[in-house]
Amino acid sequence: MADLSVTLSNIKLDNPVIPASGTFGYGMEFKDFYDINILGSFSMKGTTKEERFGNPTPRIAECTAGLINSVGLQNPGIDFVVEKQFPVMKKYFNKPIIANISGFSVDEYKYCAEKVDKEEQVGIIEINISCPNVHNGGMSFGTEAKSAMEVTKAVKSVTTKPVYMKLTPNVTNIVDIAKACEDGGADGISMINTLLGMRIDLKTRKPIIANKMGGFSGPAIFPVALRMVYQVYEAVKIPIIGMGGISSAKDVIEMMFAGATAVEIGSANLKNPYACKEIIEELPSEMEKYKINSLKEIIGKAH
Amino acid sequence: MLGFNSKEDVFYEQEFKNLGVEVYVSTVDGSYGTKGFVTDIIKTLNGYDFYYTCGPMNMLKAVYELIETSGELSLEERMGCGIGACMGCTINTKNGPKRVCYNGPVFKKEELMW
Repeated sequence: MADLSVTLSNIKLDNPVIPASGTFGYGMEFKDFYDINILGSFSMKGTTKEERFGNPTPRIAECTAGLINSVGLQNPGIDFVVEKQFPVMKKYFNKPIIANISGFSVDEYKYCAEKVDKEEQVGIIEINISCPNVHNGGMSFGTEAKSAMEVTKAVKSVTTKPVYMKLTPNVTNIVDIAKACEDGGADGISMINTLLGMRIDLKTRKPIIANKMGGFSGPAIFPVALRMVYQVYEAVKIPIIGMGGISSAKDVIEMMFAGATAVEIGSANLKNPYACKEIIEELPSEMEKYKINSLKEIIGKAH
Repeated sequence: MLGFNSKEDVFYEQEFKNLGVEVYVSTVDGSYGTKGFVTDIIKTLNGYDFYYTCGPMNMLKAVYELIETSGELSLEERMGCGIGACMGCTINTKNGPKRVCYNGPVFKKEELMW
């Protein structure tokens, strides 16, 4: 019997498959497609201190093997999510979730982290220091080692749960940022967020996205994500949740060989709402094909 | 009322007639029906109570601005998932942010903030 279970910072997951933040809402919409309790966990929509409408539309542009989004962290605010959404979520998801939070100042990160830290349903706190779609926040914290460490330390000072820093690939050297997070006390790394991209509408001769640029994700970025996970695995001791264009059971296995302990699946959910379910179902036969008995045993084994 | 660019683009005229309704067609180049936009036909009508409309956003906005009666509009937005999860197609309405794919795509005229 194939063993799909993995452990992230003492939290045992039935399997490594986790829908990525921003592609799964708070689970509400997907529970109507399948029983989402089959998932390892899920990472909730990135939530900020204040309610946000996000960026003007169009916020989506299609690309070859992927898409660009510029949602800009639309969310109802952390107080609403904790007070109203969490109790509802409890009824349809009975495993620990990953609480993804974002901020525009160190204090905002702390505020949100403190809030979710008190919640029983939260297993891991994922700190988004990598959103490419908001100004003066998000990614600006994740492009410099110093500020990445500062956010890590600040969040760690107000939390007891494992803290995973979600990194942007839009940097010269992601390894330095990952190391700074580890030095700041991070319990793990989530990587990668989207790559900054653009499309131009040839009829209007202007960028399709209202905000001009957005985050590019999807199968096209998988080799980039894989390479970065491979590099960071060699430089840090803390676990990595690998993500970026994963869309099959084979991709999951490949990402784990590169060094990921678990994976997040994003864009694939948008293309096919059953993507995570199908990947979980395909994993045992795919493992058999490559003579893998336990997923735990392959983590980082490409090194 | 059906609006097209040109005669060769016209479709569903007969299908709508088969439903027993009066059908008006406009073409931008005037090669069929009334020359101009659907709004040019609307301006010639008198006596209607409600409207339903779908099509390009610029047309929806023109209809919205022209017609004073209540109506329902089927909006268009670029969507990421189509099931309400990605927040790609959100619009602001008088009742707060709404996802066009999930809460719409049909919205009441009174909800819109155009």
